[in-house]
Amino acid sequence: MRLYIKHDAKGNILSVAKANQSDDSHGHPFADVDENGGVLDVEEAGELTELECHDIHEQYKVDVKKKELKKKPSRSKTD
Amino acid sequence: MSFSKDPATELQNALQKNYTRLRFQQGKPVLDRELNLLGDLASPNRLAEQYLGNGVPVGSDGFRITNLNVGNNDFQIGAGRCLVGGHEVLLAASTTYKNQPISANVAALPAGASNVYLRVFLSPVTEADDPSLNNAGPGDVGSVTSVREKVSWEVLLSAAPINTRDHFLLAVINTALNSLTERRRVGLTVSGLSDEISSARGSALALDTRLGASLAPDGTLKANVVGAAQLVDGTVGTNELTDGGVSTTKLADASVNTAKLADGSVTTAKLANQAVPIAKLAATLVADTSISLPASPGVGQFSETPVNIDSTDGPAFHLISVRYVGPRPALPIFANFSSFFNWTRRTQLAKPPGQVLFSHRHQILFQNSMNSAITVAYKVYRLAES
Repeated sequence: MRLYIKHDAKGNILSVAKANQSDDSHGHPFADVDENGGVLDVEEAGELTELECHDIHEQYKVDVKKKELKKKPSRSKTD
Repeated sequence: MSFSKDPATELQNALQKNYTRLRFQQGKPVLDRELNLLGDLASPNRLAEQYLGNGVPVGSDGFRITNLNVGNNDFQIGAGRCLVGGHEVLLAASTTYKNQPISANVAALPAGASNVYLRVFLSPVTEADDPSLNNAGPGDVGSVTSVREKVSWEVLLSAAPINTRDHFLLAVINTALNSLTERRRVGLTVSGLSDEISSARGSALALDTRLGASLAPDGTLKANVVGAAQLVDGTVGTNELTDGGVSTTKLADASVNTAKLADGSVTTAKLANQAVPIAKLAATLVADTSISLPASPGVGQFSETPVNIDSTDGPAFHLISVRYVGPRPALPIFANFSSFFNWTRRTQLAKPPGQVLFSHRHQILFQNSMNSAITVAYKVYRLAES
């Protein structure tokens, strides 16, 4: 299963899609992609397999330069 | 010939009175009519006529008609024995229609179809026919004391059927078609009939075993006797089946395929509700995706996430399923929870850069008014139009 992460220029995740099947003309399902952002295409593996899209959406962000998914630092109780 | 009473009349009178034999008394004169009746009542001819019927016995091929010669108005009559009207006749050597011993009724063959009969009758024989009846030998009485009756026969033709016991149908000829059809009843011997029946059905034990395998005692067919092997291919058509005669339990799985269905034979009235699942429709899965919808940017607002589900420039029939995946917080059983999102169908006409042709992009537009990201899933099939 492919994992498509739509993000803005800063790497903030705008939407996460897990696609068994999607419109072939794009490879990813997103109809509008910000010119300053992009869509990261990764193979679903490891922890990502267990997480729902909204969990990845909230717990990860995209390293735009390395084009990879990075986990956000967990917040402390005082945050 | 002189009789005190006609023997034939005396016999009929005696039979009507159920007389079966005569008893002569001591010292009483013997009458000619009583002696004649004695012989007639004891004769096997009467019983043979009524209880055996006419026919050719086993081992004989008597009076077989062959070699029809229309031009010569003749045919051959085979040698052998035959029982007609209770009297056995014997033809020692084959002869022909025109050369038979009694030719009074021989004529040209009738035009078209006609029946060939063997007629058997009794002829009186007197001393004029047979001098030995004169009893003229040395020491003999020297006078005629009785006459004889002999069995005679003739083969004759009749276009009309003759249904009397003294006529036996041998064949049917047709001079127009130059055809001859054998019609004799053969194998008349009782032992021969028994052998034929036994041969046809087997022994009584075997017959019971054979019939018992398929027939109930009342003659009806047992259950499951007729399988596919007993039915010739194509013997059971719609005309042989009553409406509703074949239930689903009588059909083997996969026994009815498209080759067995006439075009248009399955109408909507023939389909039970829920009978056709999506998997049986000519459909192509074009999208099977789960996606996160970002949180609402503010109270009373919603985020929008459009996704492409299909691209085509022709008609597109879509079956779309959309559902909420999560989050699904763990809550006590009495707690109330509700979360929702909106989705609409959207169609966009587009010409991507570098391409000449326009195409339709079929999309789903998701809207999330919740204050956190949620995951929704959608599945889309495109149905074939034909």
